[in-house]
Amino acid sequence: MASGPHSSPYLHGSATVSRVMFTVLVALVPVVAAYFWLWGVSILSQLALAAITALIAEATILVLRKLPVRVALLDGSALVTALLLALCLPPSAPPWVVVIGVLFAIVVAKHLYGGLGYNLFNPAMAGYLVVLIAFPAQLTLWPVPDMYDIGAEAGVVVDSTTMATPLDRLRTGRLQGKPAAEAMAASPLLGIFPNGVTTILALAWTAGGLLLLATRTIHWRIPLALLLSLGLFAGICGWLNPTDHAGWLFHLFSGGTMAAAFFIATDPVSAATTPRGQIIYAAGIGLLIYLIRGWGGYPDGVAFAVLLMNIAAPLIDYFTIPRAYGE
Amino acid sequence: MIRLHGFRGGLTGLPGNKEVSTSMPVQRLAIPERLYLPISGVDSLTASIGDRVIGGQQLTNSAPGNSAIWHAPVAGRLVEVVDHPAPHVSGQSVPTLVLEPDGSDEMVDYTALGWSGVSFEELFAVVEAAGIIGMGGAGFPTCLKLSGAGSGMLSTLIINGVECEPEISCDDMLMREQSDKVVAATAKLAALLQVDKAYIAVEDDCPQALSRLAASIQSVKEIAVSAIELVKLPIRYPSGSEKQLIENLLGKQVPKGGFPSDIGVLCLNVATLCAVDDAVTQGIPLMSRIVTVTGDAVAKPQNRRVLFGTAVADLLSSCGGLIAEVDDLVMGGPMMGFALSSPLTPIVKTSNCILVQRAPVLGKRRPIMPCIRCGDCVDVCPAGLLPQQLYWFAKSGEHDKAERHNLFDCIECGACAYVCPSQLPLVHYYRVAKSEIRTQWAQLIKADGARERMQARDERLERREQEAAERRLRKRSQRKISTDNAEPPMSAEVKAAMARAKKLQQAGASETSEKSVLADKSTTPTESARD
Repeated sequence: MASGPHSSPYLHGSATVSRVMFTVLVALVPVVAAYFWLWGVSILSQLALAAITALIAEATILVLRKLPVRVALLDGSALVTALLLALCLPPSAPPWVVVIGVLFAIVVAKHLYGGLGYNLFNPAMAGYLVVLIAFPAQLTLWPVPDMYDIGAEAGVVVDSTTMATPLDRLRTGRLQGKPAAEAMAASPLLGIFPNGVTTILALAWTAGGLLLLATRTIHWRIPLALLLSLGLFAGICGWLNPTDHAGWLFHLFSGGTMAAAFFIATDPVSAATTPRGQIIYAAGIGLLIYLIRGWGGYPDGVAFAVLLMNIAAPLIDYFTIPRAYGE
Repeated sequence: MIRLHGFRGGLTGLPGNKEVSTSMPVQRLAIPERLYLPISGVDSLTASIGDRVIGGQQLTNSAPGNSAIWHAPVAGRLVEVVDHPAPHVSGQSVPTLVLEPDGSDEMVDYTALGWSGVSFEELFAVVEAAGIIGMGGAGFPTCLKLSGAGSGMLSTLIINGVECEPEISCDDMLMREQSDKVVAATAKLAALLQVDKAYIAVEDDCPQALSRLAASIQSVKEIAVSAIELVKLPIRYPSGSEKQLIENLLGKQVPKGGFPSDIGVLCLNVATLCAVDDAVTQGIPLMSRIVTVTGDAVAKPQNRRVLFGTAVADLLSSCGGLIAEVDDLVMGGPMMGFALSSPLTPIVKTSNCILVQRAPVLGKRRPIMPCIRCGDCVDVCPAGLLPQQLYWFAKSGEHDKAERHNLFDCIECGACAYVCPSQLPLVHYYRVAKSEIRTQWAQLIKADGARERMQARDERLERREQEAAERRLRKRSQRKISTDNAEPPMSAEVKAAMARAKKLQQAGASETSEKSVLADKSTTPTESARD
């Protein structure tokens, strides 16, 4: 259907899919700026590589599927997937890891499921999980930021150029029987917050998220429910067992929490779509993030939590049909 | 002062463009050469083809309580019944009665009861005989609205002057020019229905109508029996939709599948009210209405009083004709209107607006993208539905799921399609799905009837066979008794017949229960389709 039937309404608002996608890209600016400030120009080349890979993959698949290329490339959805994925990877990730992740996201997670609007799983998270599982060594260690004082972190730095993330430290400490406070004590800048680097990133994601909320690109339901749910479970566990569990602030500002709340879980295609369903869906992600962080095999659980709730989204929608007028 | 309760969903900030068509007073359109009155299959003519009829003479009969009868708008001759393009979203042609006016102003000698002389029961009959249906757009027979509750059973009368759709201004003009009539009729009807409260609701963008109505309420109040409150509504689409207006004013929702009278409300469009007033005070049936002609492709946008049956082409040429290329002649507003299949399509009782816009505005649309389930449509849906889910189900033909998601509660207001970033023609999908489901219901009912007849035939044949077998048996046994007086042996044939009969009885019982389940499932539609 190229132009559709001449059917009412004959008036139309100004919203378009590409405007939605490009607003998301603009909202990523604070995050890119934070990466740039922390790690320098390497993030830009990583983003460029991801973007080019995504556009080439998207165009190739569209040609193979005999679909119009121009409109789909211009909608910006492939760029959003690529940049979100690239911003989940450490800036030190080798180029081939970036390429493999983006290719899986675009080709398998997006187009093999039918393309834009039809994918069951969040493509960026699917691509991220593939490289996380396949190349854990390249993905778990983050480079020490240029401006960061290595000396302050000497005790926990693995070597002179990379360091473990706070969630890594928390998990390693737990496996070694050390109390959570010890991992948290290594947070020099903000005390109970994870550490300087993670907090800066979390605030950058939050800034972008607030922009999405302000432009009404996303609704408050998913971010709020996710953060409340994760904060609540982290708070309860931290209160019940402060030795083994870090506090709620630690979890909200660690790892991918803010990215998930504002940019990942809010992907409308793979999320639940009913108003009540979105709250259940996001609360489920929050709970799963905590369960995986606390008891799982990976330091962070955002990607697993999102994909697991993606599977549940159709079922949640089925049971949360809203009350119609007069019912 | 009433405290507004608001309603769910809706749109703000639509470009109203009402001033385009409100600069000139409403003028009568000259009598055209031919009038086209669409008649449905159940209507029967009360005059013969070739007859001369006079203004106001009843031309058709229809099913009782339907009140969709036609009266001759002017004197003239009935020429023929032909298939002619109908003012309907399908654009199909229907049998249409053609009247050729002869220029005489001969009219029926009307007799009127007057508001003081009419009883509630008589009002019903007067409204039905005057052929009055809802003129706000839906065309629901007004006498059926009145029949919902007897006198004294209604608590609230709402006069709907809320023209929430952009471009349309016919009710605005009516209220400006005939505010005294509107207010007086409201007062009289409220008194007759013995309601506690009567509201006249008007949207904020009609300052002239509001001030004239306010002045009329002041002047008419001396003779008014009940309190009338003029309510100014903030501009929000679709605040003029009956259900949304009731929710907004009273904070109550009309029950699903029910009518406003179920919660003690009668809601009448302001033009419909004036038609009722004409019928009661002067005995004049409904024969014309005010129509807005607007858009940037017509030379002189304005409101006209138009005889029913006038072709849209005649109306447009009276407004200076088209001054630009158009893709569509739209009947109705830009949100809920529909494209006409021919300029010869007639104006009927529900035709509030003819909208003609330059081709690029209507024709050049942005590319349609896949649904990304953003949910913007959910936020604006006044019916509380999930348009994005209904779209999937309508597209994939999953009708049972569409019904479970309340497809039939969709009022086709178009708010979802307006905000859709993928430019999906959502309302079109819902209309198609609804009509497919209605067709299925009709087939189901037909099949049900056929199955009943078939079953009855089978049973009849079996019964005859059984009776014949019994007769044979009796004869043979009588013969046997007469010969050897022994127990009559049952033949294999008879045994088989009796077993068959028994089996059939059981099968029949189970089939009946299955049928009742089906009937339960589609109670409302089944009944309406049977009507």
